[in-house]
Amino acid sequence: MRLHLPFFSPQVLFPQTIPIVRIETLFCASPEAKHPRQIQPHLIRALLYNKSGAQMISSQAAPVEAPETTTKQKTSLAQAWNVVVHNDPINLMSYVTLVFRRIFGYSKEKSEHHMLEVHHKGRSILWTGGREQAELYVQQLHTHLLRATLERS
Amino acid sequence: MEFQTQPGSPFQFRLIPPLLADLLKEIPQWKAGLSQKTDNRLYPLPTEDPTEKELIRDWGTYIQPGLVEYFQSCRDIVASDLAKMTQEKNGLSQLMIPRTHADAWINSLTQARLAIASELCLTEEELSEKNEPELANKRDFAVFQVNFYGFLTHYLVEILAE
Repeated sequence: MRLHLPFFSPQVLFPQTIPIVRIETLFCASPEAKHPRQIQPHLIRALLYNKSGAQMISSQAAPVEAPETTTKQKTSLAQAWNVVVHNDPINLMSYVTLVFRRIFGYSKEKSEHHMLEVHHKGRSILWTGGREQAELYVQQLHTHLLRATLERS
Repeated sequence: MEFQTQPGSPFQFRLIPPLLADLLKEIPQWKAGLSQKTDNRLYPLPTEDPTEKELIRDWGTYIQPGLVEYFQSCRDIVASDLAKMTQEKNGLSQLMIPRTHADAWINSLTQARLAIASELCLTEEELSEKNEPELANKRDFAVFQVNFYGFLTHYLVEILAE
């Protein structure tokens, strides 16, 4: 019997209406990906930019001849985001360490370091980077029932 | 209760007393939907910033349904393994867990531990209590149950981490 992960299906990942500036988490299985679910950068660029390279950031239907571009003032995609794991008294230290190794590919020592930081300080910043990847990591941590959030770096 | 495993072989739990066998059978029943407290813990928000309304809304729309379904699929796998648990004439039970089901078991055991702790508001001090629990006491029994599930989780995690 296989584990069923339907929320990775394209129908959920590519809804008909996709917010222009902040897009939904995009990932699909890639044989060469270190982790089965990694964001495919070319998909992000395809959604944000048209063929000529101009940024498509209108949230309204655009006329074919002259596409409108209106900028939504949203959080810059370039801003760094932290993935933070918070303490809870239930999750086992051994389990938390395993999860960090699996999701982030950290060594056992680094994973234990973060696990102990969560245990003693109540939280630990596991990763810092782009928002889409941060959302993916938080989703994966939630899948493993860890308390995790993303915050501006 | 005995645990046995060989590389590549299923996990075998033998000589399981009736009380522990009953606790094993309860695992799939501990899940979200019992109360808002449990739901909030099993499906936490992705941000502590209340101004991130769009993220919170999108998370509930696109991510949470997937988590609901994934957690259910884990519990279904555990339920199907538990359905094959056998009881010997001496009243002790035997359970085999295929190695490929280990992640589903760890997830379901964690769901159960989180749900029990949320429902009864168990504290870290209670869970760390070393004295023998009074099983007639509801809270002590819940602590015993959470720690039993934790023991199984730790065993499976240690095997997977090798």
